[in-house]
Amino acid sequence: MSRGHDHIEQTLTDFLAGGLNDTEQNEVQTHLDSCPLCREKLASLQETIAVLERNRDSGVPEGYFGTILPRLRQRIDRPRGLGRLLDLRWPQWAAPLAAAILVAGLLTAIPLTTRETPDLAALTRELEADDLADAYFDALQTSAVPVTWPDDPINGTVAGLDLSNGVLNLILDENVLQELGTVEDLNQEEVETILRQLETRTLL
Amino acid sequence: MNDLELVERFQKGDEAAFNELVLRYKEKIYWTARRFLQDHDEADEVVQQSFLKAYKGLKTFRSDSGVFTWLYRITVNTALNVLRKQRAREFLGIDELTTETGPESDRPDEQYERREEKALVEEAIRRLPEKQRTVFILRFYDQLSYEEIADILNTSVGGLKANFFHAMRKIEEYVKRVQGP
Ligand SMILES: [Zn+2]
Repeated sequence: MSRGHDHIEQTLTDFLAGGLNDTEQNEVQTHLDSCPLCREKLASLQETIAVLERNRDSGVPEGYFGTILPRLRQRIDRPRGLGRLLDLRWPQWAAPLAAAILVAGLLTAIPLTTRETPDLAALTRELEADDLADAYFDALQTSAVPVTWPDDPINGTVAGLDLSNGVLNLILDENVLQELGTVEDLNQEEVETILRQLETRTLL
Repeated sequence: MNDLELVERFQKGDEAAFNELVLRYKEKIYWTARRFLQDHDEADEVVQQSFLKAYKGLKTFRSDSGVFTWLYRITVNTALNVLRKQRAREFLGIDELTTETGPESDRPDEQYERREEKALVEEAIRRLPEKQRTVFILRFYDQLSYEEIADILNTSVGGLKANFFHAMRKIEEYVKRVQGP
């Protein structure tokens, strides 16, 4: 008995790579021997793989790999903890940004009362940006905030036009929030844009 | 010395053991990051961030999954975060939508065609939804087994074959559509 085209088609790449066990490999081969349609698909797939293979290599600056460890050690060995915080790690706009994120969360958290709000002032004094973002997201976990991020680029573009909702979802997206957590990575323009979008948002 | 022995030594304060892990995996980690981000500088930053996270995390690392799997997981997550941040910037209108850098010359020589084909492949991969892109990179480029991928992504093997198949088919369709039959 041979299984259908769809099943065979799904295994063709693994078949080509020799990644199937003997039984499966035989099953696919038997099907191919008697099915012109799947043979055609196999040929087409082989072409695509050839295209991928001949474009596999990308250039790397000469000597690059030798630089990874020394630069990493530099980052690891620089001052940490309180010393690092005092070392002007928080630009003047970091606190407003954190506040804006908190406000965005408060506006959308439903129901508000089931959730403990982190003491932002205390957090900003004691924690690094990463930790703040984590703590805030932990607090959000218990509230029912719909967080969606369209994978499809077309939907993504359409959603991108709907800034009032979109920006909010964006900011509440776990992963983006973690990124925002490293506030020193954002430039002034980015922060201002986010703050502006938050300001234009009307209350529920 | 195997990975776990290095981790144990590092946990006892031997910094050189951590360095050895970096040396052991830096190229693999780089190439995975590079496949995701398609840009050297972005990939380099992901390498640095991933090893920094590993440095912090290894202090409490428990051996329920291999060191390598764990490193991979950190790298994939870090790379995905950068991708999401890129999309966030596009979304906010801070960055232009990613567009292909034009060819430096429009002479129809072989080098030009090669560059154009490479850009096409990168665009095809960039268009994949996040999960398909991830599975595709780990399976096709890193040649990991579905079991290893499942371990890294903390998911079951079940859907991974379908993810990979759909990714491959989309790439095929895109390349054929643009290049012509
Ligand atoms: Zn068939």
